[in-house]
Amino acid sequence: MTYDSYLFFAAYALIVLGIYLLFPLKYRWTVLLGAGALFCGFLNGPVALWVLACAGFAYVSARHLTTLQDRFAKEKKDLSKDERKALKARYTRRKKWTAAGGIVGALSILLVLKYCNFFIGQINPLLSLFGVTEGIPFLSLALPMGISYYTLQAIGYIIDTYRGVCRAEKNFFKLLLFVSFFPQMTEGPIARYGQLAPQLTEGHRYSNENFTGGVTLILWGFFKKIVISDRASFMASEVFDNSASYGTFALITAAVLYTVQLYTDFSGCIDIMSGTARMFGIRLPENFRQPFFSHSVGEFWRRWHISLGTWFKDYVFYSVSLSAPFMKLSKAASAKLNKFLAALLPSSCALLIVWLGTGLWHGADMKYVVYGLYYFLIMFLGSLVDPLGAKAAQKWGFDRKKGVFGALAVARTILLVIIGMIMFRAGSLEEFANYLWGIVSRVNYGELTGGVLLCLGTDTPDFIVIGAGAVMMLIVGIMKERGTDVLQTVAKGPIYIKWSVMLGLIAVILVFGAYGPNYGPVDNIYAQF
Amino acid sequence: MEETTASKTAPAPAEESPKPEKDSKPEETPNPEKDSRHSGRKLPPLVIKGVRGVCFFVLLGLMLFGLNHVYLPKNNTKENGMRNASAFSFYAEPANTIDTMIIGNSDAYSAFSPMEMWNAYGMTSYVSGQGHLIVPESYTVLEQVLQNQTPKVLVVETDTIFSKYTKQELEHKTAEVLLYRAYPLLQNHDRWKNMDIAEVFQLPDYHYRTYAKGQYMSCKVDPYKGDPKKKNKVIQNPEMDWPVKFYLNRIKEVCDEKGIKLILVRVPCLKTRSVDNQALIRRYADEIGVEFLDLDYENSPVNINWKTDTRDKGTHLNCYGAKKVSLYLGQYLMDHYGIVSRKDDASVASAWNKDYERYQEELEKQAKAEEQARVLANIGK
Repeated sequence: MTYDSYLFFAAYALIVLGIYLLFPLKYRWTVLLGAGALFCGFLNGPVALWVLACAGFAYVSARHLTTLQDRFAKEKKDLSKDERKALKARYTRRKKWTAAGGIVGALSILLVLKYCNFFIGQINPLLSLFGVTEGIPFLSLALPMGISYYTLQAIGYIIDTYRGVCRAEKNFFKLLLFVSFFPQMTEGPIARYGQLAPQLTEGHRYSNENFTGGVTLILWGFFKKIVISDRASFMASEVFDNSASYGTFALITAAVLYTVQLYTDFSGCIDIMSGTARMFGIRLPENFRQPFFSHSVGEFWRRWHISLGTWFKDYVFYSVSLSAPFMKLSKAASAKLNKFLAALLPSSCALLIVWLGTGLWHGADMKYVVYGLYYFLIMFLGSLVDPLGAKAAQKWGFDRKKGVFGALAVARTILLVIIGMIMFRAGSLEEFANYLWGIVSRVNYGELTGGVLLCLGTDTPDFIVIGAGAVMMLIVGIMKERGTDVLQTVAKGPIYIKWSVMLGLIAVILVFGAYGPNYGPVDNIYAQF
Repeated sequence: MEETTASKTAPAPAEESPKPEKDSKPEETPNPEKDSRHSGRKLPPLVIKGVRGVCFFVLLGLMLFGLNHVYLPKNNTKENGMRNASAFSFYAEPANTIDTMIIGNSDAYSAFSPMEMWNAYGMTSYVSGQGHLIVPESYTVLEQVLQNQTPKVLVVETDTIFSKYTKQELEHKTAEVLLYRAYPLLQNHDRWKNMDIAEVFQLPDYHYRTYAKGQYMSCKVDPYKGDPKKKNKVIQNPEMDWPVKFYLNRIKEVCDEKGIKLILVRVPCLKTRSVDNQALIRRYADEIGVEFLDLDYENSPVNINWKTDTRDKGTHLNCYGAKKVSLYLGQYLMDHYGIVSRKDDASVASAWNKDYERYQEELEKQAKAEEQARVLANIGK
């Protein structure tokens, strides 16, 4: 999706809102369902029907899980403790199979559509070792937009039902709405059933505060996307696509700009989506919380794409950590290792699985597997040496999160994240290695003095706009860190402030936005997942 | 240092996400306490909201109008931010002095020479050509032409009908063109980078006249080395995309309303020559009742020599080719479309004669430079 697609989306959302408000409260959810179906069909064409299959697996599986739970609750009455235990074991087994069936069903759609060629690419070289020269042919399958998001959402729902966190939805269409709520369709955030579904179905009245809050958030999102991200993209694209032609300073500048581009692109689009949902009185989960203020990479990932991180934590990390083999491993580690390592080892194994999953979620490519491993390794090594840092801080009496040490920790995190971003953007691992080698080996001061950096699609005025935009975001971020949500304060504030901010944002977007005949459309990065 | 345990590195807990929000305020609930403060002059909340909404949109409108004015080019020159300035210098021509208007893409601004037509027949014409122009854009150009001119004949160069864009891209481009036309700030906003602050307070005054009247003058010779007879792009079932057809029909309607005679012309261009496409245009022209003058075929009366009359291996004509096409078209329009000489009209002729002198000077300059370049190249060999 490009900026004009988002404009179209905003206009569509306003029309849907108008229709939504015309319906009786009780049936307003049907408008959202219809809008989701239309939007999904418009985006994806016939492959949009996969969302039905995904919701179908979740519906059948969750319904059966709730039936089993109810049956168990009924049957366990009047039983002795041992009988109850045996009954519970039996039902737990059945529930596991039911949940597994639903998860495998939903996941298989994603795996086939998104990952089959990746797996074929890995299998074919192995087959050739055994003399099979032809190999498995690659498939040409259309990937519906947003499938990675709604599949995780559906799986989360099945697991929540399995765990008894929520009861299965009886109405298939209400579940379908949860899986296909249109503002989330392209880039998430990945919501939990308990958080989102009741909001979607209960019906909301018009509220001025929600409307202006939503519109302000949408404008802020457009500001990030059109003014900063798209403007930063031109130099980043030029240098990343021709990295062998550039020296250290151009490569570093492009890496920084790409990091800015990705952050403002993704968080800007999430703001547009959240603002849209907000106009309907619906709050989507937070997806970003000033990630570049993080003191460690671990903290960064708790602030960046939060909904994905929490999904992996709740549904993969905990599931793996609490599984029987891992409990056994934990016990064995406790018996043979010291306390620190005994705690670290099993959780690190679970974390490894989480990061492999996170990497692969981003794309069907070995690059993304290594991308996940990169972050795992940093966190694992960080965990290993952390006690030393804690001891040093205690001995010399400094706070690792404040003052110079805090600033150094933030700078180190940003540096590690930028390296991760280079890998994320590079076409392949080889390109990534060459890019890093270029930074180290091609020091060319002429790039600084000869104005080369200003001739790569981003000139001085562009840098000024990007810089000023970044400063604005920094101020808003600092205030949010200190407990003041500027945008919400504006939405609740007096009318002259509200209007000034809204009109000001519109003016800034119109004048300083990177759109129009001089700019090509820039596709949204995270919509590709 | 990184965190001590892996569980710490795992992402933040789900419960930190915002809780479902119940609507804070019911719709239109009057507040008697609040209202009592204004007792005697109470307005219903809906009216207050309506007035506020209107005020907001009035302010928004004023702001949009102001921004549009600030970034509007104040003169029709490149320096003043006018895109494709030479295509729009018709703005600077005195009202109703252009009898033949030609609209098209790069083929048009390369193949037509208004000054040759002036010199030979006393015809006043202007060629508004833009690279990769699409038909919907031609329509918006026509709208702009009609603000100041009412030509007797409109020539639409047909290479624009088959653009390089896919149907989806074309629809997208059409939407863009219409948006830019409706609200020019959308294409002019980038002028903040190099705009003179004094321009902010000026009113638009398009007074920059060009002597070439939109022609791209190039005397460069870069011959086509193949066999022109073999050049023909075979297109299975050629089609006109709906925006093309829709806006061609609109152009025809506008011409009918204004009493302008419309003619479709295909100029020689080896790169896009296609018997199939040209047949489609002919069918379309018959359908809407206009003439299609095809000058792009072997042995056409224009008699283009692809060794000497092209500046880029058969894609575009140079000034020599343009002269041939213009002389043929000029005569054709005089014979069949009632175009008359303006040489006796003193108010027009003096300015156009001066323009022709400058045109001749430029031609001679370019021809000389080309000759020198050829000599130097031969010495080099």
